[in-house]
Amino acid sequence: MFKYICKRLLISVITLLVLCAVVFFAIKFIPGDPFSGPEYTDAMRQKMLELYGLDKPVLQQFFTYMGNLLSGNFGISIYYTGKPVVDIIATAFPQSLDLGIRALLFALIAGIGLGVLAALHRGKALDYMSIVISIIGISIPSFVVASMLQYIFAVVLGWLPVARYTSFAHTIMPTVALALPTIARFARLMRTSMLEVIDSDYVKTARSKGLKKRQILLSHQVRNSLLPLVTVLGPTTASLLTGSFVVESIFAVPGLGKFFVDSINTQDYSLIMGLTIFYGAFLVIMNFIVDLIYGIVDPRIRIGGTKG
Amino acid sequence: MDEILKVDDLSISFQTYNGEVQAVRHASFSLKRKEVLAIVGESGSGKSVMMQSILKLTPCIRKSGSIWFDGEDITEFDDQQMQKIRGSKIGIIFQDAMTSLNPTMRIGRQISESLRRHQNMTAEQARKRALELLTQVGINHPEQRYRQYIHNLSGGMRQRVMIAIALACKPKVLIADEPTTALDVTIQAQIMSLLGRLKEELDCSIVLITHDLGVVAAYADRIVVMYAGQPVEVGASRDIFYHPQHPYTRGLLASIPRLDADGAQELTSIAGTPPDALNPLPGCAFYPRCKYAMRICQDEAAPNKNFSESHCAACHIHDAGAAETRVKLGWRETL
Repeated sequence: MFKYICKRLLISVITLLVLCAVVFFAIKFIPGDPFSGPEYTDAMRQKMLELYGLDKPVLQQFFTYMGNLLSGNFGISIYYTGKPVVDIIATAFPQSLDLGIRALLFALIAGIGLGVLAALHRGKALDYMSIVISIIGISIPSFVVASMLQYIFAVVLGWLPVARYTSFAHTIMPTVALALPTIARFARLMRTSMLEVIDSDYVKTARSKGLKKRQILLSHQVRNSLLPLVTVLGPTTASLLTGSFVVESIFAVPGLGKFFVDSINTQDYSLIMGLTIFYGAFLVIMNFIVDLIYGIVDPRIRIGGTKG
Repeated sequence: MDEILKVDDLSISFQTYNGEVQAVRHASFSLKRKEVLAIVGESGSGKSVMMQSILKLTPCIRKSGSIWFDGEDITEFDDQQMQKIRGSKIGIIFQDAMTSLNPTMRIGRQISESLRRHQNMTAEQARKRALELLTQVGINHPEQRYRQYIHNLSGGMRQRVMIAIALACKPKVLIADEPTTALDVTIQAQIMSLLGRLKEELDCSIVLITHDLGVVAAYADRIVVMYAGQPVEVGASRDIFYHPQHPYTRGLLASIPRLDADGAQELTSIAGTPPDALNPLPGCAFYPRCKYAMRICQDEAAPNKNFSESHCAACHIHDAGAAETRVKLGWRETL
């Protein structure tokens, strides 16, 4: 187990290093630089490049950046002049995290519930209803869903605030809009694996013990259906928590998503790098946690491949 | 009350895309207290379906018949009422313990689950009893096994766990649905003798579903031979093995490979193919494969004829009017 964790950590670090290198060189290859806009004269541009050290050879820049990174220095944003990248992440991430956790919990509860109900009512009205919800969730883009929610519940009915992120009422619509595609995916996955479990021999054995239906459902059926869901949980969690630009910008949530897009538009090198590394590290950690959870959900999977 | 389980004129069907499959057709049999009743038949003869439908474990349609358990008519019992019988009064062992046990639940919990459900035990009492059960079915280091999962166990041990689960609440009837089919021969013998020992210890009756006549010979008191969803011959083991009266039973017995046979000799088999459950024949289901088939067999099902108090078979060959035919076809009264 310890060996496995060490191995995984090493692989994670290498993954992140490769990610840094690829992104670093990729953004250098984008034509232009942060100061190539019409507002800068050539002389000014040259001065700025010198100031940020962007006039040096790319390879030297890379090693300087990586060196700073090792000492925890993510650099200073170019577009948001003088603001350290770490500060930007530290102020914006809590909003994204809050929204992401809400969306994740909502997606888990609604997705599992919907999938289980659909499987239990296979071929009946509830099953078709869950299919419809899933198709809507998967196929309609979130900006449409978000705008529709906004129009119906905020503009027409006036039940919920249109935008911003200050009270519980403000969180409801962004949560729903962000969670919907995930709910749809979870519900489909859950339904499929539930159907497999319902017809399995060990459920018949559970019934032959005279257990109550609820008991069989919870401790035999739902539990054993969760594995496929755990598989997608890592990346899903990471993407929900690090924010969705579309949903965040429609509901004016001051999260990471806005900075992500802005940083690319303005070629804010250090912010792009900082956010990418942050997102990458998050994804790697989430996948690692999910791998550990596997062993709990399904004891047949033994972490580290050793026989006990 | 000598009979613990009585099935009368039971017919079971499944609705499939191809039409109605008549899995069990007018089957009647009874199980006495403390006896081992074997139900023998080839795959698809309806033996498993019949027993599982008694516990209402399969989604099927009951066309006719009644089921009596311990003096009570359980034919129309709903799922709630059946829950009280399943596991506590009738236990069942399935063929493949690998798929019949939950892979993600500790063995201990799978056993104690039914104890807690039926006997109102606390977690600690159930744990103690489950450990006793594990010892009783011959599993070493029960404490350790209690915490393990089925993938940690060998095939034979899994089947022992299955038995422990089925017998946890000391049921009056144990249905063993091909308990040894998935096991190799030495383990088969161990499991069968374990079942025999536990039957004595727990004073229960056993219904043994199998297609292995060798297993039956050693352990069964009485035998029901099924063909195409119908019992064709019922009798004490002695009757079935030494005085079989139905051509199908004789065919089965002739098909058992003999150790003392010449190595070059071909194995005997019953010619023809198993019956089609979608389109049952109007007369005797065994007619197309029967050496002794007569014209009447094609149109008319044979009535049951009693040979002794416990032995009966359904075949036209025993009609009073068929005496001449018996001679002509070379039917021998005994084997």
